[in-house]
Amino acid sequence: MSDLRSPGSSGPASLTIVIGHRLGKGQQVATGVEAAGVRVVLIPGPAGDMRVGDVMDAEGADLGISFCGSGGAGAVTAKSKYGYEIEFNMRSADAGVTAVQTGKQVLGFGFLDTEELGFRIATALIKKREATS
Amino acid sequence: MSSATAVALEALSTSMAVTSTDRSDIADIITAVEVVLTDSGYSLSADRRLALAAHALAFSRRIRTGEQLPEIDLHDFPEIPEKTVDALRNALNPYCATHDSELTDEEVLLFAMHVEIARIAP
Repeated sequence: MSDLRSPGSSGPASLTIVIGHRLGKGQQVATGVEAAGVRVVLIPGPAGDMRVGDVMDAEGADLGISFCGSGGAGAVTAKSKYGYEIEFNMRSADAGVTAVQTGKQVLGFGFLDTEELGFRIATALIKKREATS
Repeated sequence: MSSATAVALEALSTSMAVTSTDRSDIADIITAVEVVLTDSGYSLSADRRLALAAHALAFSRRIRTGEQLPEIDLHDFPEIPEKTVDALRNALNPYCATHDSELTDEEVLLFAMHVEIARIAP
């Protein structure tokens, strides 16, 4: 069986999602992303949301998720610095899935931290990648 | 409105619709927060000003519509000097008063994090 994490793999583990949370949380979302088989980078510490764009760029990530009151601070900063397509002010996993399906690269949410959110968004990203490859 | 704030508003406008009322409110809120920053000896980079502008927009819309933040455990916030929190409360209360709205602890602490970030990672 090939190692899904080996270079050149096109499986879910070749995808990376960055998570940044204003209050330094996001662990549950990260767990959900990992459960979908996607690599996750959880920015440690408070105000991680404001660094989502920077870390995405550094990691070559496929998607970023920013959490604060509206998720806007992280998303808007990421767009301004790196040109990512964004969607924010989201409050549900459904909204996040739709955003991924429509090609958004940085998603901004209110204060959520659930495994379901991470899993569903990661799964949506995998499906989007499969559909375009 | 400072030129730096105008630049931040312009950048914000490329991501979402920002009305003239939004612009006015954002400028007032940023000015209030900047007073606290300056008094504390800190300043905002262009990126952090943009982040603050996005936050100010969301905050002003919550104040105007009466929408509440989702429940946040105050213990999840990092320790922020009380002096900073008090200064921000004093700076932002006038804005809330004009909208007949109360400034909650959570809203103050979220703004306080901008000051705290400027302090620990200038």
